[in-house]
Amino acid sequence: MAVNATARSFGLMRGQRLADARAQVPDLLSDLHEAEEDMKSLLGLCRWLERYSPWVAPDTPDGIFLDVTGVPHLFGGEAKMLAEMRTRLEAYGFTARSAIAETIGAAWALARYDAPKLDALPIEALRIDAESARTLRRLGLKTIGSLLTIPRASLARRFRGEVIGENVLLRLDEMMGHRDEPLNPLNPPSSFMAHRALMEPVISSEGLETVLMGLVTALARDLERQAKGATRLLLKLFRTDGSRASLPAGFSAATHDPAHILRVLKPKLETIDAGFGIDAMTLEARETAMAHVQQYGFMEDDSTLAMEQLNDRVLNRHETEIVTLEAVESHIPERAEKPGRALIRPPLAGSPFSHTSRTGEGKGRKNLLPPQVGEGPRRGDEGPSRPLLIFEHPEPATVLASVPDGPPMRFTWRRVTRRVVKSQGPERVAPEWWRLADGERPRDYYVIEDAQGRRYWLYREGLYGETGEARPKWFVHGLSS
Amino acid sequence: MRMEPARQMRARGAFASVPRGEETIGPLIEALRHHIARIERMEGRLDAPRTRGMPWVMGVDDLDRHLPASGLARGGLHDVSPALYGDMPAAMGFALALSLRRMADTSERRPLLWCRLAKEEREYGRLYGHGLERLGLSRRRFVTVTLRKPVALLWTMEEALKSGALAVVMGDADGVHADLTATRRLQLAAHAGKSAGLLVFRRDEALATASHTRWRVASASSRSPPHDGLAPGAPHWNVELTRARGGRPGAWTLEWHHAAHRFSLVPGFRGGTIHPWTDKTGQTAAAQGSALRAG
Repeated sequence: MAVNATARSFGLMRGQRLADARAQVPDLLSDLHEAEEDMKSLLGLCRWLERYSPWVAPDTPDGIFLDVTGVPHLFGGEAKMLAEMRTRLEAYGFTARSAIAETIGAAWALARYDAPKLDALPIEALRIDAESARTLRRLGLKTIGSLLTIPRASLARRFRGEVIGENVLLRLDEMMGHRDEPLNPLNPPSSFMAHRALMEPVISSEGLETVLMGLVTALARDLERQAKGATRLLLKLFRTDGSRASLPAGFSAATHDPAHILRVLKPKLETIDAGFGIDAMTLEARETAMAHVQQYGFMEDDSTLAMEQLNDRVLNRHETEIVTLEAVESHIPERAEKPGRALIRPPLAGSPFSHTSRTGEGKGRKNLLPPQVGEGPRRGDEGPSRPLLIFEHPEPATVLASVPDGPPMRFTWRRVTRRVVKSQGPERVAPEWWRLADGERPRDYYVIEDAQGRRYWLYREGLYGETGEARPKWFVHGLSS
Repeated sequence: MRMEPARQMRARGAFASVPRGEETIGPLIEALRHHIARIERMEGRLDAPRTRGMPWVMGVDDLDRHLPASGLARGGLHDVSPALYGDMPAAMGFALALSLRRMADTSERRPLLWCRLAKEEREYGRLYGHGLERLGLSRRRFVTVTLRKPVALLWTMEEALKSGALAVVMGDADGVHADLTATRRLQLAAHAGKSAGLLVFRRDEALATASHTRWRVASASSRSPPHDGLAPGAPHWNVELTRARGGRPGAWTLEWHHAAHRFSLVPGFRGGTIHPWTDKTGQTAAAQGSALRAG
């Protein structure tokens, strides 16, 4: 049982049984312990404390470690920083004890036990289990000071082979700084980050933008100095009420261009609810990469860079990417293509067209394009006809054909019947045999033109002669101009 | 740079005597067009196409006469709308052909971006690279992006035009409220990025847009290739230029030669029943449109 101050004033104690407490104070209010909620609020507190130091680790169930190396002077010294922390925590309704020390062990002890010096700390302050503490107390070793007076070697000999001994020595060494103790931070801090603590909470978006501008400039400068660029950024905004907002941003190419970063982050900042005001902001580069040197041949302009930046803006604002359509080696139409990243290919140069034979322009203009070779796998004139638009899911159609396996004469699709005027086909597309398990059937494609000159791409699935469920079915797979 | 008074007088004289033959009117018009072009250049108009390189023309004399003397505005917005719902693929095809004419310039190395809406992809299908190649566009010069909301589409188009990374930014945007303000924004962005913007959408004719030109497109029956009398041939479109700043409206039937990136005029098809929009009652048109949509 845990008790609050009011309960304590009635003489209740921590660790007492609820039944006993009830007997003492009949109208006691009690609630079930929710360990998960505790953990959640502890983590929340950790995140809040990241405003002081990026290196914050929760110490379950009720402690938090902060690595404040190089930090206190930002807040006017260790004492002032601790005082500020305590005041703020108090304002949020937390009762907290805090201490600063050279080692994790010492800080842990000093925050939990009142003592002027480490020597005076009780043996329990060593972060050892109750059993070990009891054993040591029985031996008359009640304070850390008394433990320290015993030579290390004899201490080790006394407890040889026992868990207690190793534990005690380990903890003692850690407290005294003879042995390093790692601290795993909740969020590993980035090597590139910029932080601004604000004197007054800012609510206005102009104000936030100004702060952001400063952060971005600082971060970009750091990145550039090490020839790095950020691919993922995280902007953290600390509200005065203790909550925190995070804005992630991604970049398709590592960048340290402050103008570009700002262009991406600014629209995101607009979406933020500043609450009662923001009093600190942190911009971290969560992922960095070597910034490739922006250099282009004299034939290319900087449109590749412009393209990257455009893609970033689209990506960050609308969560969709600019893609290319890459040809895939497959004769199944819907598999013959997949979206590709628009930006990893070499800068666009040379050949603008899929075809190179160009006849004279109007008014006798000369064709200025040099002849080009190696244009790609397929020229427009070769190969079968393909539609401009293709349906993700082919849409069923009802078809009337003159002969069962002939071209359609009339077809109904989306409830409208169209008369076929011209048709070309069939183009047989057989299933890929290595995928036959999918239950695919051969298709016969037809290019259809109706009376209005509109073009459709129809196919018949299945073969002539099959009946029942297997009887051939028609689908509209695409539309052409 | 002015026309000398004598020639001006001659020009006026020519107008005074109404009956004249082709041989007199040809040079006169040519001179007037040059004159207008000069005026435009002198005024330094925002939309005056001053970019270097080939002018953006259709390569069909009959049609180019209707365009401004220096061709279409290379850094400007143009809009293309289908005559009927079912003509959307035709309108898209024509817009692509138009873009290819723009990209035919050797000094133009930038790609084409086609912005689409997810809703449109379900309605008309996804763009198919193999099909784009069949219309003459290499996939190496093509990028596309799919957006969920019409507002996002306009935003993306504007950013893309402004970025200057693209030769042409197309957007097929049925259901996008592309009003005067929106199109004006695109127009300015296009000018800033020296990119051409092409909006393809079913447009209410009454809706005012800031586009330089407006085209209305319908499919037309194609001519079968000589070796196969039953097969569809190169795409044919009935194209109507309904508005052209610095030009004048007109209507043509065009055939697109994807390999040559060239239009050719199909004289026999002009006028008649082949133009769906000549149907004054609008009955069949409306019925067809709604039926298709219901499906």
